[in-house]
Order: sequence, then C-alpha cells, then structure tokens
Amino acid sequence: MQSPPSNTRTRRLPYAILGGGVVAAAAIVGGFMAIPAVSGANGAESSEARALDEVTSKPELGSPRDPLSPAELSYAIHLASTDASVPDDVTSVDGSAAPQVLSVDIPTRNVDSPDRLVDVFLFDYTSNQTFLQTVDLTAGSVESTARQGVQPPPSPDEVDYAFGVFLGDPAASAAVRAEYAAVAGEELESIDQLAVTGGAFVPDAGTLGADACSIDRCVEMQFRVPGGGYLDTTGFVVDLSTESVIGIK
Amino acid sequence: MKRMSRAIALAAAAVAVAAGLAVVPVSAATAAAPTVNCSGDARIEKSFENGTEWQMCWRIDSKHGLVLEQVAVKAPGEDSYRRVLDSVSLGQLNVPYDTGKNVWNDITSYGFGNQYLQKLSAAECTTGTLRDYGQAWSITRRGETTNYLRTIPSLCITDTTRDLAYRSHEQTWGSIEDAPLFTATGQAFDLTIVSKVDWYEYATKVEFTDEGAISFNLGATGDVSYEDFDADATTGWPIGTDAADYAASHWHNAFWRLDFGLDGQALQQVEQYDSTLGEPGEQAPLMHTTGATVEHPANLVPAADTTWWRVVAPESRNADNHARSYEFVFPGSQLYQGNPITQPLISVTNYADCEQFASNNLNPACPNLSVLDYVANSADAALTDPVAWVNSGFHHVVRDEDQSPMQTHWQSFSIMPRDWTAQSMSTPDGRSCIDGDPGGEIHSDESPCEAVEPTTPPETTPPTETPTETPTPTPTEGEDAPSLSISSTELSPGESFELEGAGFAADEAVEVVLHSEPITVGTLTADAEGVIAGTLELPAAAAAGEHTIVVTGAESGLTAEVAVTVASAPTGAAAAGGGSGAGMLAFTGTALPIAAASAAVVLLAAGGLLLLLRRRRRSAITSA
Ligand SMILES: [Cu+2]
Repeated sequence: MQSPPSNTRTRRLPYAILGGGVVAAAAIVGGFMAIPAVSGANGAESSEARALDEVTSKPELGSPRDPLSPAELSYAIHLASTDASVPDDVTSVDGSAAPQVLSVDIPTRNVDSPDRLVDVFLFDYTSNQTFLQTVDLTAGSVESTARQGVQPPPSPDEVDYAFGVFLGDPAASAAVRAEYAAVAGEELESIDQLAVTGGAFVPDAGTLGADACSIDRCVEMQFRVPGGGYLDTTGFVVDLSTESVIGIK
Repeated sequence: MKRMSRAIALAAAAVAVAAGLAVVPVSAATAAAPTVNCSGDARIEKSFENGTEWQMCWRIDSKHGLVLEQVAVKAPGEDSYRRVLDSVSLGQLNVPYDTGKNVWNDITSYGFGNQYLQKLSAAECTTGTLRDYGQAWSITRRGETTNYLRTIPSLCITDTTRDLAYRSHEQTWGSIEDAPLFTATGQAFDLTIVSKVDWYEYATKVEFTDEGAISFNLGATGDVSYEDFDADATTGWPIGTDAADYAASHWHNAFWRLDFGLDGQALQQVEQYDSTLGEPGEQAPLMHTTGATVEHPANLVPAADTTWWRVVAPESRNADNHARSYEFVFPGSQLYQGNPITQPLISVTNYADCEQFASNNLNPACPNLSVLDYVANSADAALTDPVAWVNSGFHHVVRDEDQSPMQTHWQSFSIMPRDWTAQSMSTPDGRSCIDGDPGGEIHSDESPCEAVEPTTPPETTPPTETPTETPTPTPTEGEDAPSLSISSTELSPGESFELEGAGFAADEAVEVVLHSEPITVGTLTADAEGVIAGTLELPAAAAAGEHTIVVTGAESGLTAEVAVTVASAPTGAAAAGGGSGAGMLAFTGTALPIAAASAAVVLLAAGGLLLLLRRRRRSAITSA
C-alpha cells in the first residue's frame, strides 16, 4: 500500500488473517463464508486504482462536504497547479518542471461555507516551499499561501523516490542492504521487496546532523520485510531537496 | 425506616390538584434547522427508538483521518436538529518513547488517511455497515503528473446497545412483583476507521448515544515497535524470556480537536467547576461546587480530580430555562509532563481558520505552531467561539500480552449533554411528569404520567388565610359509593393481596372483613382524598370456597365489596409466594415476622404503596 500500485509492481492478493487462521480466498467467520477482505458487508467494494482523466473545465460539483468525485479531484489539482501563484521555475521531486502534489482534501475549516472548496497541498522543490492552494471549484479561483519550513506528510510518490535515493547511495545503504540479505537471503534491489512507509522528518533540538531538514524536504523511513520484522532505519533520513542521505543521531 | 416514615408523610399530604404536565420537553426559541452540507453516503442520519436522532457529515482527511462535521442532535419531541459540533477530528498523535530516543507525530508526519487508511473487511465489521472512501495520490515524473483514485471500504458503522441505560423500580420490599419497573436498553452507534502507521494500527472510533452523549476513542493495536527494544528496567518492560528484550514504554498522546457549535449560537463559553470542602454540617462537611467562566483562551489543567468543564451556550435555553451545554467526561487521562504541549488536559482557543493541528501545524498561514502558541497569541481575546483541544493521553507500559498482535488498548473521553433538554432524552412516559421536585406522588401508570403536587397540610396553613386560597378537593362529595379493587380474586389462605379503593371519607379508618363468616383481615386508613390502598394477608383460617371482602369506613359508614375465591390450604409457606426458589420473592409477606401483624403491614403499605398506586382524579389533565 505504501508504494503507488502500478503494473510493474508485484501485485499481492488481498488476504486476511483472523483469529490465527490464514484466509486467502474467503474468511470463515462464525461458521459462514464471508467474501474476502476486499468486500464489505453491504456492497462496499474496493475499486480498481484508476488514473484520472485530466479535467480543465468545471465539472458537475457535489455538495460542499461530499467526498471529491474523480472529475472534481482532477479539476482541483489542475486549478491549483496552474494558478499564477505557482512559480514559473517550479520543480517536483524528480527535478522536472511541475509542482509536486502532496494531498487533496476538503478543508477542515469553514464547514458551513456553501462553496465547493478544496485544499491542495503542493511542494516546490526549487524554492523548498509548501503551497496550500485553497481552490474554490464553484468560482474557479485559487487562494494561495506558501511558506518554507512547513512539512506535510510525504506523498507515496516522494517516499518511492526517497527509497531510490537511499538505495542509490552505496555507502549509506550498506548496513540496511546487509541486514536485508541476512534476513531474506537475497539482495535488496527494489522497493517492491519491502513494505515502505515514510514520514515527514522535522528536526528537533535533540536530533544531530539534520539541520538542513528545517528547510529541505526530508523523509524518515521504515522498511518492513514482508512476513517479517523491520530493518533498522533509525540512523538516516533522505533529504529530497538535495537528493542525499543524511546520517542522524 | 427513616425513609419509610418520610414516605408516609408525603402520602398523607398528597392531594390531587391540577398539575401542569410537561409531556415532552418543550424547546424554547426554536432555532432554524442547522446546515448540513453533504449528501448521499457522505451523510449519516440515525434515529433511535426513544426518538433521539443524530445527523452529520463524515469524510476521511489525508492527515486528520476521520472527520465529522455539522454534527447535530434532535431530542425527542423537538422540531429540528440542534448543532453540537461544527467539526471534530484528531488534531495530533504524539508518541514519545521513555528511552528518549524517538518521538512520532503520526498525524502531521504521516496522516491517518490516504495510503495509511486501511481497507476494512466484512469480517471486521461483522454487525455493522461499511462505507467507502477514496485514496488519492499523484505521481509526477518528467514533468507529467498522473492522478490516481481508488475507493476502499473504510468506515464501519455499527449499532450498539447497552442494558441498564437506566433503572427505577417503584418497589417496596413488601411487594416486589407488581411495582412498575422503568428500565431500558440504551442504543448507540459508532463510526470506526483504522489507520496503519508502521507497526501501530489505530482505530478511530466515535460513538453517539440515544442520550445525546458522544465518546471519542482511539484504539491502538498492531505490534510493539521493532525499533524500541533498547529500554532498561525503568524505561521499559521485559517481554522476551527472563530479563531480555525490554520494550520501551511510551505515550500515545492523542489530541482531539472539537470545534463547538452549540445550537448554532454566536456566543459560547467555557466554564470550569471546582468543588471544595466547607464548614461542618449536621452529618458531614458541606461541599461547595462553584463555576467560573474561562474568559480567555487558556490551557486547562484540573485543580483536583473533581474539576470539570463544560461548554455552554448561555442564550440557548431548554424548557427549564437552563442554558444548554455539553460537559467533558474523562474516565482518566494521563498527561505527559515531558512536553509542555501535553501538560494541559484541554486547551481552549477561539476558532481560527489556520489552526488545524495541535502541534506542527501544517497550514502555511500559521506554520508549525502548537496549541500553546494559539493560546499565547490570543491570550487577551474574549473566549466566545471555543475550539477544545483535548489531550487524551495514555502511558503504555508494554506487557507480554501486547504480542502479537497487540491487544487493542483504548483511550477515551466523552462529552455529555448538561441541560440540553429539561429531562433525559430517554425519559419514559411514566416518568415524563418529573421535572424538578415532584413533591407528593407520581401517577406513573398514566401515560404520560401525572405529578401530583401536595397541598399545604392544614396545620401549617396560617389561620388568617381564606380557605379559597388553598382549595382542597373534596373527593367524597357527590360520590354515591366507594370503589374497591383487589390484586387477585383467587387467593390461598395466608396469601398476600393488595386492595385499592376510593371514595371514603378523608383520613378515616377502613375496616377490611372477609365474609360470610366474618373474619377481620385488617384495617386501612384513607388518605385526605378518601383513597385507600394497601397490602393485606388472607387469614390462614379462611375456608376454601366463595367469599366476599367487605370494607367499611369507620366514620362514613360507606361500604364496598369484592368477591374472592379461596383455594385449599397451601402445602407450605413457600407456595404462597409462588416462587419458592426466587430469593426475596419467596419471602413476600409470609416469612416476615411482622407479616402477621396487620397494622404493621398497613403502615408499610401506606408508606410505600400509596406513592405508586393510581388514584382517581376528577380534574381534567391539563398540559403546559
Ligand atoms: Cu503503545
């Protein structure tokens, strides 16, 4: 779940382990067969992950506090990313010319507003600024606030990229690769071999070696070996702004 | 016995006068229905059997996780919903380890939505209903951004019940079986999502009851942190064999952000109440509980374990003209002293757009601030639009049993209505007439019940008052014959029964005799209304066959009678009660030493039963 699903990645079948028994195809609960983990009780079902069409004109809008429809989501990101507030030299995590989209949510404020408002968080790796683009889908307008040193949770895309930066540094990743080889009996070569989570790393007074992370966008990570424990990742963070691995204490 | 004699006094004074009845709580100044800006599956509406209804919007924020908005309750009998909370969600989850080596801020560094939101299977929402929510993410490579969305079943809505929501038994120990019993199985529903941040998995659960209460619960499960087996005997607990593998103790400091919107009022205030022991009283020292308005944004710490707080809307009044409020209830919250942010139990601030997280605030308009900053930056402002940042903390000293998976441990608090309605939202009809001191007696078998105000006893009435100022009903006048009824027309010798009658002279003695061979059963005393009621025992000497019980007023000479059939003598004392193995039931009447003394039984009856047995009234029921 950590890494964005795509066809190049190993696809794991959903399974549930209930009360000690592994149930891969169906859960036996209270003597009857329940549909496996994907399906809910009353027809609630996971949808396939779908790439959204680009939406550049106003779609049909839901009620202000409804979840965003695919078209609303796409349109909100379009308005937020193309707004004049976004610098011309904006870059994303891979250095290409686009803002990094962090999250899209209904704002947790102005609950009684009749307008269809959306908070789109963007990050600009050129200026190391976090942008909160409050998009008014009703009016097609954007209110922008930007600041350095604000670090929302990294997106799956950024965590994926951070893992690449980490593994690409032979010295910094040596210990983790050795631990993985000892546990799994094979070389660690891809994020698909692990379950990876990544959090925004904000240095505090007690952390040594990561002062750059007060402005740079840094990610601390946890690596879980599938079916096993965790690898020791406490000694480093990945500075995505400089694409480097920083040792911390 | 003290209580018994008080009851007798009440009964003696009780006279039926026309009492104003509050059939249902009548709302003062009904406000317009609150806004609810969501539709379809985004809206939750629930109604309970007692008439209470809840309405709200739900969604799952990428960082806050479960967010409930426009939360409103409709009390039974009210015309429309009243807003309770504009919004509620987690505002931070701060997890410092006692080894000093790790501190996590799971909400602002990871988040409880999107990739951390867990898909729920039907098997873990067995009695509930699942609803979907979306996970959205974007991938940017070489200047191209692709946006993805999928929905997963992630909210479990479960109906729950709780026995003994209340219980009130109008029982005297002399008559267990026939007294009205008011009890109910309460209803509630809860909303649960699960978020997985590494080894810990958190259940966010909010419950709404049919009595208007809301509880906020964070359950932690998953696994003990793999990174934190480096503790010692004081910073951890050994969970491996012998003194090995000390798992670090740590804190789950959950901050809930409650944005109050009580009844849509512009003015809301926070009050703190403290209780102090005072001067000596007759039996115990007096205790004085006094409240004070929290005038400005503040960090609140309990002065003692009796300190409590409420948020009140002074201009929203219930039918009793009391200001509506919600009170915080803490079953116990541990306050982490290692960080000034987690030292207060509640920080109260005025609502501000950019203040969304309890620490490490992510809104660039007030970046990286905490509740302490919010309070400090507005310390001079009047507190009128409160947001409560509630620190629901738990110090987790790991146990062997936390592996594996870890047994879910819960940290909770709730808010409950205080004076939202003039009576409980689950008041049964038979108690709906009780609003304040009921005075004399309650006719709880009426629906709705009737509260009967006692009249002033004659001896306490100043002689100068004219009689018309305190009209005393004269129920015996114009009545041709008294009425009489019996609890059972088939009796065994020695069996207890209840007699009930009306239309006798006020306060007169009424003799009860079994015919045709006259056997005195006992004596009842009419009350000021001429009503008799009591429990008596059929004499053991009564022969089997058809008999008549005749009652005669000693002063009025009025008589009434009722036919009874006496069965053959019982085989043993237990048979009289009809429940030989049922504890107290078996002893009803017969096994008590005083049961043979009719006078004693009459006293008990007058003390207890008169309060609950129905009396006839001539006046029409008037409702307020
Ligand atoms: Cu814990």
